[in-house]
Amino acid sequence: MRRNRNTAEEILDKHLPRVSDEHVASAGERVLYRLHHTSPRASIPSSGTAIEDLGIPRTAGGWWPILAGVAAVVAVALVLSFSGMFPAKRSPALAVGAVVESVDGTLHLDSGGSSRALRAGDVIPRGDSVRSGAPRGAVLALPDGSRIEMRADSELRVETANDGAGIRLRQGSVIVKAAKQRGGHLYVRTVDLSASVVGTVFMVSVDALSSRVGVIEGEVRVRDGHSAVSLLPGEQISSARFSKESIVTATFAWSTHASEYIALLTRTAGVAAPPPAQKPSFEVASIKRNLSGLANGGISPRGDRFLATNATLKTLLVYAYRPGNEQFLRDQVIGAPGWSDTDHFDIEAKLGADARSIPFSQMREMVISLLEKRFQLRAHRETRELPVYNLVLVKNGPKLSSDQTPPPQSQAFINFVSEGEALLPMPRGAVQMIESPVRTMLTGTAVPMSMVVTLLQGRSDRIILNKTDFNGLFDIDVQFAKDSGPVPPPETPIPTLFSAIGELGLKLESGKAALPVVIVDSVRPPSAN
Amino acid sequence: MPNLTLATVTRENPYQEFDDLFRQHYRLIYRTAFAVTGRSEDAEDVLQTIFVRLLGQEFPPDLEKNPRAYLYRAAVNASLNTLRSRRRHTQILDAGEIASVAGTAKAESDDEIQKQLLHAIGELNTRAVEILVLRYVHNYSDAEIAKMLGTTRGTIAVSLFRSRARIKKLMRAPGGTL
Repeated sequence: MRRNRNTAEEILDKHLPRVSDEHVASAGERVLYRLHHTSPRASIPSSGTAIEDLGIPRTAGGWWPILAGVAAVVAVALVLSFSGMFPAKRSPALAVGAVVESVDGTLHLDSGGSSRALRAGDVIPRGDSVRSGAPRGAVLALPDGSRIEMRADSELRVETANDGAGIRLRQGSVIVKAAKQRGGHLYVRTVDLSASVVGTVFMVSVDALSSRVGVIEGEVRVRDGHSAVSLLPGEQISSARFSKESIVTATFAWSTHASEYIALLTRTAGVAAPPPAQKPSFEVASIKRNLSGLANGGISPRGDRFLATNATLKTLLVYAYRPGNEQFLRDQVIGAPGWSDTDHFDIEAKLGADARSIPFSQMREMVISLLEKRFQLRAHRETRELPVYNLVLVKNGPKLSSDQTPPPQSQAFINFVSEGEALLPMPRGAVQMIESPVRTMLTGTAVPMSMVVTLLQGRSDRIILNKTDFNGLFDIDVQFAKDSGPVPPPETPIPTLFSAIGELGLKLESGKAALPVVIVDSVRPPSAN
Repeated sequence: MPNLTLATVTRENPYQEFDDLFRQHYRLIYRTAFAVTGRSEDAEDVLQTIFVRLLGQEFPPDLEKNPRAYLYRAAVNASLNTLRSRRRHTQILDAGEIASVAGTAKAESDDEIQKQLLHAIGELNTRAVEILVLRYVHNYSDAEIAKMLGTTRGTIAVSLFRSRARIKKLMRAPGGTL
């Protein structure tokens, strides 16, 4: 008996499947990556995980009909009063939160579950959120004449306050040049701080750990729950430790007006000018060839490390040069040698800080520095005309879901299953993608156009541009043949993706569009560690 | 573990909470799923399925109360479902057949023994598997398991004894290893 008990125990000890820490970590990153890129989270800039090609496509939201009217009125206002951006009195019914003054990179408006790119002159309705992408960010003008300079990878919402205007900064950094307020205040709020001003220049930033307010000119009142403090030029405060510190000029070195602000600070607070800014780079990095021959891999900053596993140079280039959260395909990397697609590398680099506290744009710049140093990369960005697919409505229009009530954003995810597996009941807004060796089936109810574009993009070799100007919800139940793999039996022909989407009242048309590309001028295999 | 609902409201970043939840518990879930299913692809599926379900809904009260216990239970349940559906798929329906199919010839390789062991684990009830995996995969003591599952050390010891006996019986069936 004793012998048998031991035998069972020995077998359990020896034969229960176990895995190494590396295996678990790698699997975890893969799953988290899929969760990031098959859900609405993908539209939110993440400091954590990104890899290549998959991304949120540009979508035309439903704001155009509203904004067209608003823009017409605002256009007149702009002509009459450009210096202040808005006339002194405006119709409150317009609910205009801000106007885009300039964009150096990308700027997206998120509204009602859809997202669309903004350009200079576009209006941001009050209550809506905007996200800025690489390389520099954007400048917004508020109705009172204040200007908000957004750093790349920042997100904010323009709000109304009881006695003035407000900005809610969700992530990233802004520099606010507040106009003189007529009896009210301009508020900038983060998750844990609130800054109120009547006319000044100050900086606010939010990262994963804390919020920070620093004053360049004038005076700013900062509240943290029940505590409040007034900051003068040259002072800053962090929510992590609510006590005054000297402002660090590096915190606003990203601004296009950094030299002007440093001069202001030198004059008002006696802050010494800093040495010339250095390009962000890793503290130390190790690059090794990966000869495993596996297809899996990824890029995932974790803890204080930047980790790339089994990544090709092309993958790293796509990661580093992708503009904001824009779609950026491998074909948009031009001039890279053949080995950039075939040789795989493992990279481990020390960040010098927690990955979550480093903006995505800075992480990308660090990767570019690494590539320049170790791969002798010489590359530049351009805009080139590339083949695209334009998604348009067919003559009879889209086939709509009977219930057009928008589902919660949290339900807009894609569930991947293999044919024959148990199917989960999907909530409204979600899509189930069922794969078999010969076909792909998609089912879902109340699916937004942005999701349809994402699904199509995953199967397309070209960027898909949404030209539908349509914001309804679809019920999807289509199947289409795999691009590759076994040929389906002739007696059961399966439509191609292009013909299948016709069932939704949609069509993909070939076209051309000016898209950002990165041109590789020269690159060499990496130098030894 | 912070209060998830409160954190979601105050931080206005539910995704950060989701990421934190994932990063804190994915090792436990993946190791559990791998131990029960024996396949990395199944373990990834279990991990993904659990979190996909959380993406599509408010966090359940039980998860907020004790996320580790909730996710562990979910991992064992989902893993057993995977293991049992695989067995149904291969038309192995009862314990006798498990042993005879798994060990048509006397199992000699570790792979064969592991296959038989997993088939036997699939025959145990969910609670027994929860305890078995905590003991033999995550290396918790009886006392720690009892505290974790809100029961007594004696109950854990009895459950482990019965599970070992059941596994032994299944693996001693004709063609089995023991």
